[in-house]
Formats: sequence, C-alpha cells, structure tokens
Amino acid sequence: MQKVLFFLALSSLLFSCEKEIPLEQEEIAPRIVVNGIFAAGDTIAVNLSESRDVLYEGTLPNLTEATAKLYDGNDNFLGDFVHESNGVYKVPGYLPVAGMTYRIKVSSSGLTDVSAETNTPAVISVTSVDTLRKSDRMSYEIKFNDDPAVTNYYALTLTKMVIYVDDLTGEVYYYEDTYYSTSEIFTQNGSADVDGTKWGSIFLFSDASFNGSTCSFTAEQDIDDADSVVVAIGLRSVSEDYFKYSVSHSKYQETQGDPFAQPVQVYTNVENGFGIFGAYSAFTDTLIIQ
Amino acid sequence: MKLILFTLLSLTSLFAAAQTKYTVSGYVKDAETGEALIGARVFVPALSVGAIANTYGFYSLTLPQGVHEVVFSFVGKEPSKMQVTLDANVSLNLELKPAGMLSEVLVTGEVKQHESTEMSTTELPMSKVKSLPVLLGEIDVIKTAQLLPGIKAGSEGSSGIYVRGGGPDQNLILLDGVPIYNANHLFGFFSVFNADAINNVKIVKGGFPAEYGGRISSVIDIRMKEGDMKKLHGEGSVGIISSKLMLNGPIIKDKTSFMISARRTYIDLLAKPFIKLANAKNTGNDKVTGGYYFYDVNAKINHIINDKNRIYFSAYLGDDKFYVNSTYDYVDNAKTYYEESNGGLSWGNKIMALRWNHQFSPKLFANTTLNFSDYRFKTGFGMTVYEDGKKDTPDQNYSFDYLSGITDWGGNVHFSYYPNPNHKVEFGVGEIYHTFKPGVNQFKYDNNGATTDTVFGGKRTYAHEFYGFIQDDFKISKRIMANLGVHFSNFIVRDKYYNALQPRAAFNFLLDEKSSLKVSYSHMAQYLHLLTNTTIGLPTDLWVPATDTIPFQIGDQYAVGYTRELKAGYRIGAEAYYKQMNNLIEYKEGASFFDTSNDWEKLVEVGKGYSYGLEVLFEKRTGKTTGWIGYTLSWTNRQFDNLNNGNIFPYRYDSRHNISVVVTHKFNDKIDIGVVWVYATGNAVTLALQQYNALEDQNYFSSTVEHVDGRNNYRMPSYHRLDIGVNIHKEKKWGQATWSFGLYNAYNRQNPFYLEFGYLKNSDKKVLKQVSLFPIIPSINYSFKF
Repeated sequence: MQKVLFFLALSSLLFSCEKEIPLEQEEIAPRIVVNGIFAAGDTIAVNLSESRDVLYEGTLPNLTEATAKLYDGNDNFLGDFVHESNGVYKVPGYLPVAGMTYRIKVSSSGLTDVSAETNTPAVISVTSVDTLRKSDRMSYEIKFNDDPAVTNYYALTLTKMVIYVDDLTGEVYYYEDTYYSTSEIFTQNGSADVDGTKWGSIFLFSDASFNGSTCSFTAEQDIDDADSVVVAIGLRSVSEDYFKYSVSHSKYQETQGDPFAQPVQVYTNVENGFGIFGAYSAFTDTLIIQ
Repeated sequence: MKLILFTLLSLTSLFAAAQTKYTVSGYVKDAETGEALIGARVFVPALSVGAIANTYGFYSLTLPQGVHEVVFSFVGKEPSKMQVTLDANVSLNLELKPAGMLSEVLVTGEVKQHESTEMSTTELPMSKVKSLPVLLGEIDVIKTAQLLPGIKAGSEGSSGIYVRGGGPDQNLILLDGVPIYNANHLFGFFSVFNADAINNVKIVKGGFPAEYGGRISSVIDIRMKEGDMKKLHGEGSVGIISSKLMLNGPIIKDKTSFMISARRTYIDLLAKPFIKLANAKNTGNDKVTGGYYFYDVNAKINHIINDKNRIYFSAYLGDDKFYVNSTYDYVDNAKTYYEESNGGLSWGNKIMALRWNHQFSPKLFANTTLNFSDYRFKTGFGMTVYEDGKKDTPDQNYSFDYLSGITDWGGNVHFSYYPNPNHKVEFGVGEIYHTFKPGVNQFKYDNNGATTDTVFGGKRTYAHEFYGFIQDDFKISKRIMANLGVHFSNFIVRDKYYNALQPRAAFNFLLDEKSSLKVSYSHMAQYLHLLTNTTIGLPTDLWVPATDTIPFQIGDQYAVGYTRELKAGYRIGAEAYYKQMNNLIEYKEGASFFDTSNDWEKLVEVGKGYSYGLEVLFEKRTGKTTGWIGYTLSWTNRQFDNLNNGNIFPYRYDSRHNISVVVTHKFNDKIDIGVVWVYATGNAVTLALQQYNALEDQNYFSSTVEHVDGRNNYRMPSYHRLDIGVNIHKEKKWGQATWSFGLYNAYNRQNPFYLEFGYLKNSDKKVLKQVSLFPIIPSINYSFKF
C-alpha cells in the first residue's frame, strides 16, 4: 500500500509544483496557555506558557513572571499562584475541596488576559469489586452508584504493582501495568481509540448510558507469576472540562501522522487562551491479589 | 400537499371537455441519421398550442377536428411545415434536415426557456462541449457543466460536481437512465463520459420534476447516441493521453442501428521504455515497474419493431487500473532469494439497460427499462519471497486486498399521457435492488506452509428502493403554467422501512412575450450516502446505505427565477435559491479511511447543511460568436452536533464568488476558437494556525498541540484560469478532419490544490506551502469523422 501511495504521490509530481504563500491571518499573536488538572485535597498547580504560530520552530516558552490568581465560583479571591520553576505555579496554603467551582485568572505583560473555570465534582465511592480469575487474566467488575441529579464524568485507573524479590540479592523489582477494558460504557462514551483499541492506564467515560443507576465497569489484566501483586483501583469523578480535554487530546495524539485522518480539535476551556484547567475528586481502593 | 392533490384532481376535469378532437402523434427524427431529436418542438401557430418531443423523440398533440398547419422545429434544423387533416387520429413521423450556419431563425426551433415550467435546468449542446478548450485536450461534458452557474468543480482539474452546496453523492448521474456511481477516470481528473458517444446532456439543479428521485442536489441525464439508421459513420481522435473511435450505422436500414465507441489512455505504454531505461541504469538489486491506464466502451443497439414498439440495449464498461511491481534479490547463507511485491488500485463501472418503448395509443406512451449497474473498487498489495528456482514453493507469500462496491438491479415503467395540448401527465413506478459492499478486507499469509486466510471489515448490506410518481405539466391560463407532482419513495434495509412523500411544484408566470418569472419547491429524499474523506473524488470513497442507525438524506429547495429573451439571440436569467439538507454524514473527528477495524456506521456523525445564493447567466446563443457569462454568489455551511463543537462551519466547497466566461467564435467553416476564463473564491480548508504545550501526561511527558480553531477555518487563495483553444477543420474526400490546439491555464496561474505547512526544497525555513497541479499545458488533438 505504501508503494501505491508513493507512486500516486510521484505521479502527482509530474505536474505539481509548490511555493510559499503568506499565512493570511489577521493576527496570530501569542496567547497564554494554562495547563493544570488538580484533585480535591491536593495543592493546585498549573503550568503557564505561551503559544506560537505553527511556523515557529523553537521551544515554546514558559511564563515565569505571570500574575495568576485563584477565585471561587462567586469570584471570591482565594489566593495567588506563586511561580516555583519552569512555568509551574502553585497556590500555597490552599487545598481545594470537592463540590466547589474554581476560576483562575492569568495576566502577563504583552499578552491578552485569560481565565478558566472548572469544578471539583463530589467523590463517588466504589461500592464493590468482584474479581474472577480467567485462564491468563484477572477480571474485575467494579461497581458504583451514579448521581442522577447531575451529568457525571469518570476516569478509572487500575494500577497493578507487581513485585519480584531476587532470592539471592534480596533486591525488589516492580512495575506497573496497563489494563484492558471490556466495558461497553467505555467504548460508547469514553476515550476509545478510533481504531478500536481498548487498553491503557486510564479510561474515561460519562454516565450517559447509566445515569442515576449502578454502573458496572469490567476490566481485565494479565496475571503474573510474581511474589506479590497489588492492584490499586482509582475512581476519579472528573469535571466536564477534564473529560472533554482528555478525550479530544487522546484522539489527537492517536491520529498524528495519518494524512487520511480527519482533523481533531483539542478541547480548551481557557477563555482567550489555550490549555485546560480541570479538576477531579478521587476514590482509591487497594486489592492484594497475591 | 392538499393543495397539490386538489389541483391535480380539479385539472383532470379539464380532460373531459366535450369537443371532437383527434391526436397527431409520432416521432421527430434527424433526416441524416434517423436519430431521435430530443426536445423537438411541434407547434400549431393558429391555435398557439404545441408539444415537445420526449427523450425518445415521441410527441403527441391533440387538436380539434379539422385541417391544421403544424410546424416541426429543432435547433440547427430546417423547420418543416405540414398540413395535417384531422378527422381521425394521425400517426406522423417526421425527419428534419440540417440547416447551414446557425442563425437566429433556427434557434426558434428550440423550446423557449421562458415558455417552460422547467427551471434550474440546462441542456448542454454537444457541439459546444466539443468546441471548448479542456485539460490535455480531453473533451469532457462534466468539465463543461462545471462552467455553469451553481455547479462547482471542487479541486483543481477534478471532474467532481458540487451543485448548489450539495455533495458529490447528491447528483443523480444517469447514463441512458441508469445511475453511475463513480463517474471519474484518473482519480477524478476526467469523467467516464466519452463525448463522441453522447447525444444529449440535461442538468437539473432545482425545481425537480416528480419523475426524478433518489438524490437531493441534481440530476445529470446523459443520453447516448442511438446510431445512424441510414449509413455508417465514424468519429475518432488521437490525443496526448488517449485515443478513441466511435462507429455507428444501420444493421438493418431504417430498422436497426448500432453505436459503439471505445477509448483508451496510453500513459503506461509511453512510460514503459523510460521505466526500462531507469531500471537498466539502476545498479542496485531492485527493479520497479508501474503504470496506469483507463479505458471505456459504450455500445448501443436500437431496433424499431414497428410503429408502436421499439427496443434499445445500451451498455457501458469502463476500468481504471494503476499498478506497481517490484523485484528485489539478495543472498542469504549462500542462497539467492527473490522478493517480489506488487500493489495497485483498480476501479470501474459496468452498466446495462434494456428499454422498450411502447405506444399504447396516440395519447399514451410508455417506456419500460430493466437495468444493471455495478461499481467496484479494489486496492491491494502482496509479496512473495522465494529461493532461486523455487518460485512454486515460496518461503513467504502474503497478500492484502481491500474491496468495496455497489451493485444495482433495477426496473421501471414510466408513462407519458397527453390528454390535450394543455396537459402532459407522467407517471410511473420503479424498483432498485441494491447490494452494498462497503470495505471488505482479505488477508492471506502463507509462511512455509502455515496459511492464514481471513476476511474482515464491513458486511454486505442489501436494500430495496422502490418508488412511484405522478406529475402534470399544464397550463392554468394563457400566462400561468405549472408542473405539479409527487414522488413517493420507499427503502427497506435490515428490516428497517423508510418512506418519503416528496411533493414537487414549479410555476411559470409569463410576464410578457419575452420574459417570465418562475418559482419552484422540491422535497427530495436520498437513501444513499457517500463516505469520503478525500478531496479529489478518489475511488476509495464508499457508497453506503441509510441504515437502522444512519437516517436517509433529505433536501428541501426553494427557488425563484427570472428569464428574459433579449434581441439578437441574447438571453439573461437569474435565479435565487435556498436549500436545506438534513441527515448528511461526515467522518468523526480523527476517523480515517484506513480505520478498518470499525464498522463505517461507528465512524460517522450526522448533521445538516444549508446553502443559498444567486445565479446569473447571460448568454449569446446565435451568430458567429456565442457563449455565456455565468456568475454565482453563494453561501454553503454545515452543522454537526459533534463536530466543530456544534458550531456551524463552512463547507469545504463554500465559495462566495464564481465567475465563468465562455466564448466560441466561428471565423468560417474552417476555423473556430474557444476561450474559457473561470474565477472562484478559494476553497475552505482546515488548518491549525497556533501551537501550544499540552498538559503533561502521567509520565510527565509534554507534547505540543497544533490548535485548529474551527473546521474549514482557512481560505485557500482564489482560483482563476484561462484556457484557449483553436479548431481547424478540413474537408476531406472521406469526411472531415480537425486539428485542435489548446492551452490550458494559458497565463500559468499557480492555483491551489492543497495547502500544508512544511519546507520548500533547499530551505530549512518552515512555511505555508501551496501545492499546485497544473501549470500551462498545451495540447494537440487530431480528430476525424466520416
């Protein structure tokens, strides 16, 4: 197929020619980029940087002298972001809580001010985890109850820590693993690869197919012959912004380099700028498998 | 709807007028060839009534008892006056002789546009098509059609048709009444229609009569030549990329005739010595060959059984083939191995139609058609590795094929009923059985005897599409005419039943002797979709049906137009239209043609389209200099809930301004020239204009996102081009020879084919690049006819 495409391209070169044309855009001025996903209970951290037009080939600069402030949904000031290093800013002394709305406002000399708003959803707890050993895989059925009053978005992590102990040296080796999803709710509403691949370390989905009822999510992982296997199940209740950004960005990355793929617009909730300001509330449970 | 039914019913009462009347009916033919003169005018000046010959040249005119002077006329033919005594029904077949130079008088033979209820409709004279300059001298009816207002070409050099903001799938392209699904040769640069085989082309952009259905944007009705009933004739040409030959003549004089035409390109044959030379110079272990060709064959036989019965058989067969083969040899463990690989694309159409014309009575004419249409596309590649001398027992052998296509079997019966000169009633029924083959993959792998053979991808889908229609084209008063009708179509797929009642209405208000105001409304349904993510009409585009999850397309179009005949053969017409299209499909964000693991239904979004605009056509139809100036001002947008954040975005071929200037001038019988100039606002494309850092992922890896502000957010530079052609004719003992010289893109405008960010040759600066396809291209063509 590659040869066919190559010859097609070659054929078109028989006549084709190319030239530079000016990029006609009234203004492709740099904009402020805000990137930060925070969890309820953890310090809020964001990275601030600048965008450039697509012809720019250098490293995209971080903003180190920007002014960034944190507000709640009623515009009450909560704290200043303080620059730490490499464009990373944090709000010292403030821990976000679940069920709140947060707004960030950023200004930097020579750039248009930007703002972004998100909310920390309420924590949703896993009600049960059932395991079933198949031939070479362990299957997990994770259940939780969805809140019917709101549209919820979830991210589910299933982190397996496999530990080997070297009998001679006593050294400990471990690694984490991805998992497979066999859940329809994921493929219908989540960040399924466009090619149908359903594996990864984090899967996102909305409650569109089970709103207000009990969700049953099934996942599988390979079984290892190890000294110890511990699986951490994390159920993140994520903001809509986080969900939309993650799904679109994931799709964007998957299709890079495919000239036949349709363009993907990566979601942003930053007004007058780019990036994502999102949040989640996490529930975590640990299972000792062996 | 009630209004239409009421009007139809009330008008039928007119049929029962109590007066002794008789009918004169028959066929109007060309005296030289015996072929039907489609659209010939039959007129009784004393009564100011007339009729128009249908697609088969049949007319029927019911008049009061008595003696009438009847005038038969057709553009380019000498009119003929006949005294007809009507004291019984009269069967009268008439042959019209050719006229000399096209004069103003002769154009009266043509149906006056302002006297007809037809709007948004154009007939393309084949003489005009053949006299205009075209790319590489390859005469093409579709390329000429693209010069009309409201019809866009799409990409540079393409034979794609985008009518009033519709997609390429929304055109019902009929060859002798049979739908053609992929009308492209050479990746869309030429259409499949060989001009030598074509008799008549009619294009309908709106105000669709009820007889047409199945597509929502246009009808392109192409009729093949029937074949000369009198004597053998031929036409042919030798051009830069192809040669063609057409023969037609009687099998039994005045009873049975045939027409056969064939065309083939020879790029592959011309390229062979160069490829051989390149391989000879190549000191490496690899040899590569490749080529491309297309051919097509049109054939038709028509047989007059008797005055009341006639049958036609027509067929088209065309194929495109692109292939690459390579051989590579290497030595491993003192053994020589050969690796042979091959790849290619091929696609083509086959159509057949068997038609039977039957005249039940002087007032009732019927045409019954059985037809078959098949389009298939195949791409594939394969590789064989074998040890020297052991080709029959290869070490490895694998192949991958991707097949798609659509096959139709159909039949229909259409009746034309002429109760009196004020009414022409048409009605009929039809059925099409579709088989869709959307994207089937075949993979075979043989490794030292271990064989894998799998088939995966889209499943075949079968569907029935059947319809009925009735329409009446009638005079309400001396100054008001109407064409009212209804088309009822049905579609059954996977136990899902769809139907659509589609009212059609067109009114013509004669303002005075030379001008009229027309209005029309059409509701159209289309049960097929074309799944495409390319811009040049590649054969990879998939025809897919409406299914239980993907609804059928619906189009509603309103149009109002004004037309006026001016002095000295000039005519001006203007039309404004508004079209809404529902249930259009587009690939989802990120979806790709190469995504074979998902069923196509999971890869698409469903949305809407809107198009509105104004078209102006100023024509000069007589004299030595003829042609037209067309201008279109239009807006075309799309809206999909899950694309572009739900916001409206411009269609790729949204183009604010389109201008075409088409002029032919006949200096004398030996020399004529054709000049074409076109201008169009640049197409809309999707370009990421900004880049920014993405959020670090779990592994603290940060990537860059190129930000797309909106779908089709960027305009390509405008498109314009001048083509000039000269035809030099020479009379020979055996017929006529013509040398045609052409210049495509005479002032060498670099028009945009596509844009991309990248690097120019010998430069390390990243820029926005415009890739253009066709610079100034001269052409030369020798043609002959006898």
